[in-house]
Amino acid sequence: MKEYKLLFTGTMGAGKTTAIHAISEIAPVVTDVRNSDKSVDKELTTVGLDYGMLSLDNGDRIRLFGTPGQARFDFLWKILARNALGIIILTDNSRPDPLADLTMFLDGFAEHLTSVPCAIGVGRLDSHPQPDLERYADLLEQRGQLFPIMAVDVRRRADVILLIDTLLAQLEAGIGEHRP
Amino acid sequence: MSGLRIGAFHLPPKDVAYLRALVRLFSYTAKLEWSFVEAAPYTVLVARAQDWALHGGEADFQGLVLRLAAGQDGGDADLIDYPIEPDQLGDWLKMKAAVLAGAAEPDQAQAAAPTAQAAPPVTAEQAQLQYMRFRLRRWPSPAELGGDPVLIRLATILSRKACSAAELAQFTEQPLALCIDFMQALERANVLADAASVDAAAPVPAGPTPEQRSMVKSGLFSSLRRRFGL
Repeated sequence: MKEYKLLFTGTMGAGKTTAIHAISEIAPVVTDVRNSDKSVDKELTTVGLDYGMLSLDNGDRIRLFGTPGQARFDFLWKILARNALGIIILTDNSRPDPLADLTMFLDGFAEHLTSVPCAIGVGRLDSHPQPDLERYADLLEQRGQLFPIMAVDVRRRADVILLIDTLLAQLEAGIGEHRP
Repeated sequence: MSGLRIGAFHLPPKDVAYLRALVRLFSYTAKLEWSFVEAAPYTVLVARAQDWALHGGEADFQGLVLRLAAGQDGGDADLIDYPIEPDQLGDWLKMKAAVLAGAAEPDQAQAAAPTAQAAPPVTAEQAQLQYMRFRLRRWPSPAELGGDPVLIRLATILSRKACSAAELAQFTEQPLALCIDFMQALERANVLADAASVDAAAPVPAGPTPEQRSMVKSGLFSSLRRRFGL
């Protein structure tokens, strides 16, 4: 049996815990505490990490980790990203500067993003249409990076699975494996 | 391999790739007996007219030369439009093949079996997309993807791997027509670039890590896809 890691990262309130909950086969282990950051309208937030799990029919396991959202925990991001199957960055378009948020995570995981697949899910785009997905693509292009970007509602399992599908497609394309 | 060998003389790499793709395409669709080759001996050399005029002597080549120049009126039998029009090239190759085989005079050969009638309709853009490799240079807009999981997967593959539409169809097991249509849409949206130029200019992801290679051996991808019903 082998174990793999899948990472969900993003700002506070972007939906990392919800995304893990959408696909985990166990009740996610959540380390939320009462939010002391009054600039964010959220009662609870993750200060450690969230954890979920998936078992596969070949006996392998996928461990799902949600990183703490605050930049002061970036030392944990690097530890968690090591040998990860992929990194999903979730952004919250209702925040004041979601592109700056994304930049923080792209910088924080920069050394891993050269080899680890990554997908970007933009949340709350329906209610907060700006910046639109083209601005996200602009940002990546300016940085010389290219990752899938899509609008998501992580309460919907299908949206989370689509993000994971793009990670698999990146791995398959990189390795040259054809779809079964 | 066919005995009719076509080569390029001083053509830019993009034109060489396009010419190679067209010759390969004609071998399937019109059963033309030509092969694109990288080295002499050549049956035919293809060159831009101005390059041949300036440097043709260097080639020390006494065979057939197909010259390319913009805005041709058809007055010179061995001069066709540049950029290459697939139908013109196909007609010319068919005619010359017949002449070289001694089967017919050029006029008769052309009248007997024009390529445009023998081959299915193929636009220059479709031929290029089917056999030339392209990569994404930027993630497409929602207008191109429409939230469609299949198109998102195709775009993801193209973000990591230079593919022709034919290779993309084989890799993803999607219909070739879908891949051609999608890549045409990407090209119109200016987010697709030919592999040679994008490899030089755009970020190229690092090769797979040992851990990633081991994932293939363990059947991880297929297990994950079954798990999620993908």
